[in-house]
Amino acid sequence: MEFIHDIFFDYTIRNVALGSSILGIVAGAFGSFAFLRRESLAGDVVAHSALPGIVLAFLLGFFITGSSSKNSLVLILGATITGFLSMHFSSRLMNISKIKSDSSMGIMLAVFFGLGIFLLSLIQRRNIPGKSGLQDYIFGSASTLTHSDVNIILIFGALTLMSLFIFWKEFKLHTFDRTYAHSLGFNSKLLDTMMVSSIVIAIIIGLQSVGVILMVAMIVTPAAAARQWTNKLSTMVIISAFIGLVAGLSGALISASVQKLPTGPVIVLLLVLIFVISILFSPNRGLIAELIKNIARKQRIRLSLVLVDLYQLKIHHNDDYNVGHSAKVLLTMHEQKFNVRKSLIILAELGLVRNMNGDVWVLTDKGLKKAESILLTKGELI
Amino acid sequence: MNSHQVTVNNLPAVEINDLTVAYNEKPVLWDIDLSIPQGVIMGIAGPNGAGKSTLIKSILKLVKPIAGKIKILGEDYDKVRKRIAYVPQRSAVDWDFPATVFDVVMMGTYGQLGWFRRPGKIQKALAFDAIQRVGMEEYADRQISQLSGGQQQRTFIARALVQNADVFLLDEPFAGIDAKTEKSIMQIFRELKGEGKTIIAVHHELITLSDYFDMITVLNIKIYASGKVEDVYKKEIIYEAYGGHFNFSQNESILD
Repeated sequence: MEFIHDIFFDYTIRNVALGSSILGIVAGAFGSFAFLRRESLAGDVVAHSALPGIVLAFLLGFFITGSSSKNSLVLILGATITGFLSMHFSSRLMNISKIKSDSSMGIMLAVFFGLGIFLLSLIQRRNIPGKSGLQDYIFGSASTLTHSDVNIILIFGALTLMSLFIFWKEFKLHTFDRTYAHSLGFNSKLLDTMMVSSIVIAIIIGLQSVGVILMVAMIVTPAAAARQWTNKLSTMVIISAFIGLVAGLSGALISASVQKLPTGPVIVLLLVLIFVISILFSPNRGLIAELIKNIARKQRIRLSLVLVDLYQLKIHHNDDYNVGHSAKVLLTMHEQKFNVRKSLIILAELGLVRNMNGDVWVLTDKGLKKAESILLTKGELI
Repeated sequence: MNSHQVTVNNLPAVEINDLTVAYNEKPVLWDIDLSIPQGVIMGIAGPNGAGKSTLIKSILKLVKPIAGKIKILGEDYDKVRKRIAYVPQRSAVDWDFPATVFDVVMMGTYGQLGWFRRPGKIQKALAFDAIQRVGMEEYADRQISQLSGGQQQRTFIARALVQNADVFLLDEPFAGIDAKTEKSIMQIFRELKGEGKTIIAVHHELITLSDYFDMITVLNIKIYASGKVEDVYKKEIIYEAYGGHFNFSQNESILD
């Protein structure tokens, strides 16, 4: 009870809860689009490349004003600039050389992140007040969120969510089929810019809490998990936002209440848990559902094989209606690696064959028709 | 605009003059002159890499030409955009996208709606009509990843039908589809032609060319011939355009 009381009244915990809830929702919602646009790696590049921007913006602020305020807006601006720059450079690199997109993005990620770490270690040796907080941007620390940080997350989050609501139809169309969208009069460059900017904002507002290294998980994982549960874009975005909310909020609260526990890793572990559950247990796309479907399919193939074999024996021997064949004969017809007798029992339950006596089986009228139609259509099963 | 009007003017559906397109300095289309009259079913034929898709995309201003002028129904593309419907290649999209057949066909109404406006009852009715027209009503609520190739193609065509356009541009509508879909697409083409509409479709298979289309353009970077099937579907023209890429022994008989 005290904890719930704290969420509303304790300054730090309230900030943590509010800030991480919003960023969870925004990252989850826009993560769906990044996921469907196959831009997950691009998201990772933006997040990592934000680090030098943050450090440079901090340094610039320090040299200009002489004091080291960690004004979030300035840091966000710096992060956005280097984030975009690295994306821009990687697409330039792709255009002027024969390097493929994954490699060029990988290179830019390493270059920018390396630069960020380098700058951070330079700062460590100088006597600049407030420098210690910058380290938190690597793995994230939700407990450092101030009231004004939360306001910034709130404003940017609300703006991007609003744009998602207003341009829902256009975003959906563009994500599915950009050339067709363009042919309908929806400028694809403009829509690209709008969507990429939204995704970048969703990433940047999460950096302080989740950190540059693991922020990509907030974008990709909820979307990948949500895709398992639905075949409808709107539902997917809602589920993804909800997963982001749950993981962001609980992860941030857990890390804020345990000393020196960085937020990013906690959130990622929670997300992975949700993701694994989704991959395994979702009703249509889940691995277990798939496994059950495969077992059932194989069963149908076996049953069909036995039925057709019985039919062919009957044709071959020009049988009368009542003459059956033994399972032993059926066994030798193919090198069947499954239990023919068990299949015959199931076929009997389905009313397709009949047991004469002991080991002898005969097709029923229904079984005869079924076997003929299986042979006729190719690929039809029981 | 009354889109059901049967065309009275004699303007060509598409008029292309001196069109040249190049990707990375390699010409894909070279000095194309082409006039496609209204109310015909025109097949654009040619070997792989002939620039067939690029021609369609140039008409739609999806690629930027180096030189040339294109008029559609006598106007600039931007002016008549709403009278043109485009059916991209099936492979151009991710069919595992979370959407149903109905969702995809609804997208055909977005062009008329423009920015901001949301589809309502009228648009839903239009989408359902189009789905019925391609014989997909049973599958309206089916997830698109569970469609066969033919069903995917019919979904795409339904999406274009919703646009109620006068000129239809299709990229390989007959590639990898079943006989039922083939028939249903041909039926729709003929109906559209009967309404005075123009169908322009990229097609790379020679054998079926003369069955599907009443006019043919033979393209391989430049235009080798364009006109009525009986004038264009000739051995020497096809040989010349297809060069070494054409398997003579198999298809020779159909060209005689």
